[in-house]
Amino acid sequence: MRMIFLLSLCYFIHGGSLLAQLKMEREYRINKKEVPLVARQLIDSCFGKQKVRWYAEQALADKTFEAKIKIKKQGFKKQRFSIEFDSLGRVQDVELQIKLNQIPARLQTQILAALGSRFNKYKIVKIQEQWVGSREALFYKAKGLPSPLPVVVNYEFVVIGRRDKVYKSFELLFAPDGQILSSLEVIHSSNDNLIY
Amino acid sequence: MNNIYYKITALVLLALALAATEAKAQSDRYTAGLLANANFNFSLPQNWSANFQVETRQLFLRGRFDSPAAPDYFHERLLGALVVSRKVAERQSFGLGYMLQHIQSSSGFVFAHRVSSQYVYSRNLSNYRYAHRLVFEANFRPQQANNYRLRYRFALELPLSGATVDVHEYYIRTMSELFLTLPTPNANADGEARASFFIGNRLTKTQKLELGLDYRISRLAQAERQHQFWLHVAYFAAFSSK
Repeated sequence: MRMIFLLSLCYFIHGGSLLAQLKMEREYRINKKEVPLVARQLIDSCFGKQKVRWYAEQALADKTFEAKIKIKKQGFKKQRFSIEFDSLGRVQDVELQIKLNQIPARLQTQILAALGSRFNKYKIVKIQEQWVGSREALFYKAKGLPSPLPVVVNYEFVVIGRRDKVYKSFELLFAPDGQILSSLEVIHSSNDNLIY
Repeated sequence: MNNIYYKITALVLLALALAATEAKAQSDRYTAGLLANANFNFSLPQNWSANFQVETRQLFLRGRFDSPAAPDYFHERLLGALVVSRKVAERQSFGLGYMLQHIQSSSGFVFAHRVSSQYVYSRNLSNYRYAHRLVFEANFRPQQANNYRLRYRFALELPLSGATVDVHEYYIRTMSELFLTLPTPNANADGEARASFFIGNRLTKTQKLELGLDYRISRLAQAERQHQFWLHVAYFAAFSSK
């Protein structure tokens, strides 16, 4: 799941600039009954009896809903899905936590090169596949069925990177062709209470 | 909540309960009181940070478990500590610290000094975060031999709503810490253990307030142990130079 307070930076990447935006989210657990019916129906049809945790994300302008599901799969310890809906219950995207070696080799190389050029040193904290498409297309994809409709697969990387001798956390979204779609600095709340 | 939360929280509570049971079975000494501290953290450029804390301890009870409780209020200590740290890797930092303590002893109030160095590994995960801390410290107190201790602490923070702790939300913090007092020509090695459990609230983006129970058992290598029970109130404020 994304962090609570995300501040975007405006800077140049390989000659191209990214728009800066201030994104502040407050995420909290909610009851299933508070979720729009269409969203609940989609989750029930895709994931059946799996345990689902529902969250609301309150941003500055809008409110979204997110379903989080852990599925035990053969070969993987767990598959972690998070499905995000808008305030009316329309699906926005599906995210699936993956490992680096699950990304196509060529794209993997491109992404690592992009990270290497952006940071002096970095550590990958989390990778998520982000599926974007119509409700029907995402339904097929989530069920593991061949989809007659297109689904765009982006890759979201959460990294801790060192640049100009300073360590910061970032959330970077890569397109299927390796282009960086967005770059957000993740602001963690202070952890002094764990250290002192 | 993830199962690991329950397991770790349960372990800390179990340790507290076992310790209390164990304590009652012996004629050890005990003290009980209120421990309050305020902690101010300043983020500085280039991965540096400075942490300053003040702490006061008020005792309300002390005695032996095999004797009736003896209410006995007094101000046991006031301390101030400064630790300057630098982040040396993505999740790791080193720090050096100094602490000045004003302690009430049998001969009146004395000043004690402590210098320390610490290594911290901390990690933010999807729905909880934790930190390991290793400290080496040297303590200097009038009329007592210097003592040198190694201490290790594990601390865990678990949000009670959502995946991270947002403003006005509650969380749990649990900690356990082990101490090893190194042997010197005048004293043998000794040990101490601590466990604590807090409920906290993130008051604002930069401030937290916690209330918890803190149990400490010291003189582990000696026949007569010392138990401390604290009602612990902690306030944290973070400031950034950016």
